[in-house]
Amino acid sequence: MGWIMGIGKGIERIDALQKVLGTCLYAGDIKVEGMLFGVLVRSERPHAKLLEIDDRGAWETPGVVRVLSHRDIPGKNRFGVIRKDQPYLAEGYVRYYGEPILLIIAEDERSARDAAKRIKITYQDLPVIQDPQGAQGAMPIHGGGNLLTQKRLIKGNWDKGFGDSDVVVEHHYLTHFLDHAFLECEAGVGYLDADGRIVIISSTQNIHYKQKEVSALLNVPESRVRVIQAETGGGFGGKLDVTVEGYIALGVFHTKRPVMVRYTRQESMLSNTKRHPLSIWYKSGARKDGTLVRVQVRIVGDTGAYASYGEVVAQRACVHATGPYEVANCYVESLMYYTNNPTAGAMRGFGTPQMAFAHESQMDELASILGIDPLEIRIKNGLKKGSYTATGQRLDHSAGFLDTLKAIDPHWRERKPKDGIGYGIGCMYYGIGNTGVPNPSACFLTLREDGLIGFHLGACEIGQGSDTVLMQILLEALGIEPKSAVLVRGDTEASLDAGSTSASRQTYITGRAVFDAAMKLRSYLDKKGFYKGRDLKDIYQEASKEGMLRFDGFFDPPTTPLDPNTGQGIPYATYAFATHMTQVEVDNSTFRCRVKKVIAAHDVGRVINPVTTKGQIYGGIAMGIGLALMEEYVPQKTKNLNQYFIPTAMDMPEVEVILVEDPEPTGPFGAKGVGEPALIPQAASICNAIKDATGIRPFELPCNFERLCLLFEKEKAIGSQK
Amino acid sequence: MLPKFKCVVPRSIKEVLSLLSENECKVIAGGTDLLVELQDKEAAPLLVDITKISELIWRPEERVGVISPLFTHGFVAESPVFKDMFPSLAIACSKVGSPQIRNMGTIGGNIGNASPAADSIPPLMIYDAKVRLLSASNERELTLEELLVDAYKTQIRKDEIIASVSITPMEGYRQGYKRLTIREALALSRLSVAYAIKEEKEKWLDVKIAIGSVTPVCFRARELERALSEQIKDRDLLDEAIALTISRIRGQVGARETHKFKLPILKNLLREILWGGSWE
Repeated sequence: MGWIMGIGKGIERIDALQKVLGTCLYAGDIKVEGMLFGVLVRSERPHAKLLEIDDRGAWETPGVVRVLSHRDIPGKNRFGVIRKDQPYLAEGYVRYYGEPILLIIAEDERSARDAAKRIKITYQDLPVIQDPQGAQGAMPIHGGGNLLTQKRLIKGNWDKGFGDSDVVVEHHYLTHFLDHAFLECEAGVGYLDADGRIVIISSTQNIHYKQKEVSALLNVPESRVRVIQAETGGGFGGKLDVTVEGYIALGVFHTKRPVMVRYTRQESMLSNTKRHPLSIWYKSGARKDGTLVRVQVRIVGDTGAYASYGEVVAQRACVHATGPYEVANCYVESLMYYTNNPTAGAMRGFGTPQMAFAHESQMDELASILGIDPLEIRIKNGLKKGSYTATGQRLDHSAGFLDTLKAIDPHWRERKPKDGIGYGIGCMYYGIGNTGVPNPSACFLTLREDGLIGFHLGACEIGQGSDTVLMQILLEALGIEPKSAVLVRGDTEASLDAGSTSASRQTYITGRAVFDAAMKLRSYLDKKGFYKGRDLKDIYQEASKEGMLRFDGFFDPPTTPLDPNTGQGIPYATYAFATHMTQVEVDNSTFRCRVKKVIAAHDVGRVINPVTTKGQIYGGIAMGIGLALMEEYVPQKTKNLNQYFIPTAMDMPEVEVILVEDPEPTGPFGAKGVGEPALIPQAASICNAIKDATGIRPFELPCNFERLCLLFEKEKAIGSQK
Repeated sequence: MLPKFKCVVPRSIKEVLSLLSENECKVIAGGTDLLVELQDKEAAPLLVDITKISELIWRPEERVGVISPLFTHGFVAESPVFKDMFPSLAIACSKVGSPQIRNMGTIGGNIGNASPAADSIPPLMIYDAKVRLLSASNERELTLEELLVDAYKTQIRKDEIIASVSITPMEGYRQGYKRLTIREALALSRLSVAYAIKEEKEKWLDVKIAIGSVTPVCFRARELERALSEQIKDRDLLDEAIALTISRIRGQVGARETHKFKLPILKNLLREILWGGSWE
């Protein structure tokens, strides 16, 4: 039997060398002979009727080839992951500041940008809705009211009131818009191939979805659209919605020439989807011994001008509202409203990091009032095998939450109180994959004439390491050497739909599909004597005659839809669990909080690659620091990264990762996912640490020095009144 | 996207001054402010790159206390002369932006740009910086406080360049620089305090404080300096002195939303700097 790659080994990422050397081509680096550039003309009003568009100035700009409006769209001028409500180019109205109105195509980028500035638009302003709380009765942005969706979860004696609780804690938590701030802005290039089909190479998290949207936009069959994923410099959910792809397709369709569209950072920040601001009213009741009796939660979210992933975030916030705790009686209501803010969409965690901020603050408040150690109260209530989640799902396997708490325990006991230093715990559970809907993944393997195995993956590698991890699964399952397999990734022409790279699902779902394909191939190879030393080229000849050159793999995790009235059901086949312990230092004079150390314990089911797993956790911690302390996108004000602060390496704390393995029977070799779990508990643990250090609890994120100072001043004023 | 622009690289002061006297142009040294400002502009003026003028380049030990406008932040931050004799300035320069920005941005540029958040300006002020300006027809020297008129406005005329900046060492003074930023690196100061304090255990002998990012122009808190110099250390006196500075700020710029947190933090910082150790 061949060399075994080894699950659990920290092998070097297969894309490492080209990225370190800088030879890797990202979408914006690609050059195609005769390439034109497309630039969007965007709305300078948050809500307005378009009265007149004067494009003469653009036509006077040398190099301009086309000025395209919604009238030039041959198919449907609507896109959207769930609800198709977003136009590519505005039709008479604009609903957020930065909404695309026209697409200018020119010989070069400078001309296109110059021309875009010369378009004159006359607007008639309409009332602007900025606050989702006021959206209900306001003028409908889309017709049919501004409530996008309303989700509900009820469990147990949810309507009985808090009489059965010895202690009740009730607070209001608030979060704001966040930008993904991926390193690489949206970019792509398209052209017509020899058969006249449209080919789009773009920075994306989901090629097959983009293929469907472009096909509808151009009113051509999907087979006439090929989408290829360029190397992608980060996504975090921001490259799930259609970004540049539609505009590239439109440009190529009309000019029959190659067209590139690439956003500047300003354009990216203006137009990209954001993290949903959530306003969370949270009421928890517990018995004297710390047992959670009931929670009552009301969530109001802002989806901005278009739906995007608003329904998903409302649903996930609802499902995850209790956190990783068993609560017998729950009432959770989650509403999502349209406003004239930028569209909020998918961003690492789909509303769960916001919820973790609330439920983890609540746990600490209960612990403090009851005089119970914060770790103890979590152990007491934590989900374990045999527990029922808020949706009534019994956890039968891979529920290592208590193990993550126990892993933290010795560090928690060793903490040393000191002036200005605080320690906090943050916990989370997270359903892997999409919520209560089928979310299949498929892939295929081929036997090749050259004696190699073709590994055809539709799963997008966006920097998180899926190529490497999925390759490890393949090699392990087949028992072959790395050089025996050739990866063909991210091309609709050469892969099956693996679903989006989102919801921490690729290792678990696509990994299982890879395992499935590998087992089929393995059984065939075994029959043909491969494992007794027969050459693959030889086997290929025979397989070719038998028509056995391709082996498909498939997996769709078993879930059930949630009951629309009660929110009960089995929304996910498996869950990841994590506990973060964070040490912060808060400056007495400046209120500036620095994260000094994080110990992160994660139940990932089974570690496929400890290096990439830790990489995800380090990144999640960095992003959690941003969410807790720095990042805030203010519509119309935040224009660039000099106004939007993401942590740099200088803000990174010392990190210790503890990997807990409670294998998931349906996962590949027992693996689950870690992409979003890495982030989710971090901000919550920082806020609890700030409370420990200062005695002040943040109820609004980010808790920068400004907010902390104002909280302190308020506290002082209250203190002096007493 | 930057507009297309022309750039000339004169080799002598004389050459640059004649260019400035005859053309509509803009001096560029590191470009860390100017190139950002030119982003998305329709057109750019002629740029005059002064970084190749050998008369403007010397070693700090050759002319102690005389700063070349071309000294970069990174250079000042690492230079033993500045670290030893002008530590407040060296610390401030080490906090600017990122290594890339520190390697390009210059002291002359920091002064010329006159940002309220310029990190080098408050420390230069406590070292009583004087700025020598040259034009084709004239030479003059202004104190840095005189030179700065308003946010991003200086007395430097279009035909002038900064030829040098003279500073006075503060021997026997405790010196430093504190700044408040939202993150460790790559962030503008939201509040900054440069200080040089001569003291005995029980007494402030001489106090020099300059404050940035609270008002349109960085300033020396002279009312506070006068109130404390030659005084026995006393918490109430210190708080009264701080109150003078805070009311001066309020008087100068009125009520501002950001002052709700900046002024309490400024008070804390000044207490920390002048009292030392824990206030409580």
